[in-house]
Amino acid sequence: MRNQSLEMKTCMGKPMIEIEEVTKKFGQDTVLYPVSMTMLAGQVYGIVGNNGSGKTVLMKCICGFLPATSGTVRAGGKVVGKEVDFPEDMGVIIETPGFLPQMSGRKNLELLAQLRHVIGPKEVTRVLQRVGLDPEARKPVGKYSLGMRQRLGIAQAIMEDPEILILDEPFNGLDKHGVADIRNLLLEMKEQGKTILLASHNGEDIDLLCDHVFEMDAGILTEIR
Amino acid sequence: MEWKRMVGSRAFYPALLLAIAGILAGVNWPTEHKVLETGTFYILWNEALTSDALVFFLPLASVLAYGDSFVQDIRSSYIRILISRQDRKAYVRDRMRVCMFSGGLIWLLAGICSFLILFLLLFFREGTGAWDPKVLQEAFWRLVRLVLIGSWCSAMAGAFGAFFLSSYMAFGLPFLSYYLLIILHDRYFQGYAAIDPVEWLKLQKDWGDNGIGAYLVILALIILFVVLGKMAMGERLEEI
Repeated sequence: MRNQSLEMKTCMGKPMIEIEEVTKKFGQDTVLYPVSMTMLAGQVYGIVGNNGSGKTVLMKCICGFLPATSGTVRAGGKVVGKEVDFPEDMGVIIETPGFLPQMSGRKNLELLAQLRHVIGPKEVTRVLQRVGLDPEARKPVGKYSLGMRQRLGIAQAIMEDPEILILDEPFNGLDKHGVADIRNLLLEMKEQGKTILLASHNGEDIDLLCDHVFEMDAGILTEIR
Repeated sequence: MEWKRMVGSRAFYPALLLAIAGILAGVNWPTEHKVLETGTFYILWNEALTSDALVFFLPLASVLAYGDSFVQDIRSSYIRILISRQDRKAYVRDRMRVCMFSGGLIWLLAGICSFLILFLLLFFREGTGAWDPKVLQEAFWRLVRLVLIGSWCSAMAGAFGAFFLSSYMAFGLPFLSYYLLIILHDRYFQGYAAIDPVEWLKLQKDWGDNGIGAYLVILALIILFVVLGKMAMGERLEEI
């Protein structure tokens, strides 16, 4: 336990993601003007902005889902899209996550867990409980409400205990209790020293959770706190 | 993961039932109530493996199980969850491989199930006598060709689905291509058995020792569509 906290402290402040002059164009439209930021270990970063301002595009560029038109994204020292296809040790939820509709939430997570072989059924049970879903429920995901789907999306993002979390509107579709649960979960993860990038419309979530706050407006990122 | 997903998918069992129905529809069922000759069940099974009914059902059942899985992954955004756990190359390789094998697997299982059904229905009505291993051997190789043609159809489904990003194209174009080849052969190129999928199955022409030519043609087509499918998927996955 002592060693773990010592390790966590030494990791604190280490750059986890470095974004250098990243731009993104779709045809003639520029959706991201040069963006540079460094995300340090153990810090929570928030991005606020209107719909279509470029938050999701930036997050997709960080994950390697979209190639940047220019500039580089480094995660864990490796250039995303060149040295790594997807950053190692990163959990992601971008837009409403899709799952296999005919299978239960648990079955979906178990199948995903088999891709990395890092966790087993016990951890899947634990993570489902952590996000407030019943691990034994057999209901297929196709019959889930938007809130349940969102909880499952968060569960898949955190289930392998990644060091970096990219969460685009994680509170989407959640009711009051759901928002409170997920807020507490993120606070817990912050205390564990995880690096989190969070995009949300809700200023309250951002104020409560984030150490650094940015505003995205028409593709221009500005630090506001 | 891919195999479990395929077997757990909604379309897998209907596809399997369709394939079994396709084989059983081609069985020339005995109508007289008398003791049957020894081996009737596998003789009829062997004949059913090249029947017209099976030829019709072949492209349909082959593509149903997993042909549009790539399209579904993209449309439902499931792809992002997958790509966050395995790189694009690994995804494309696994997807195309399972997509290709899905059609073959459906026909392999359908072949085994129909064999067992015929055994259960007819074996106990047969008289005693010696089995003919040649017929069984012939049926085995027919089943192998059926599995290969099924794989070709499902590889086409994967490639067309990725290229057009459409489930309709994934399901429809293999069927059209299959029939186009049959029509071209029957109407215009009767001397070119190499383009006729029915001939690949029946091997009525000279294909070399043990029909090796037919196997090579089907394998070449499978490889062609796997390569095309991988290219189309790779292109689609650049931006997700």
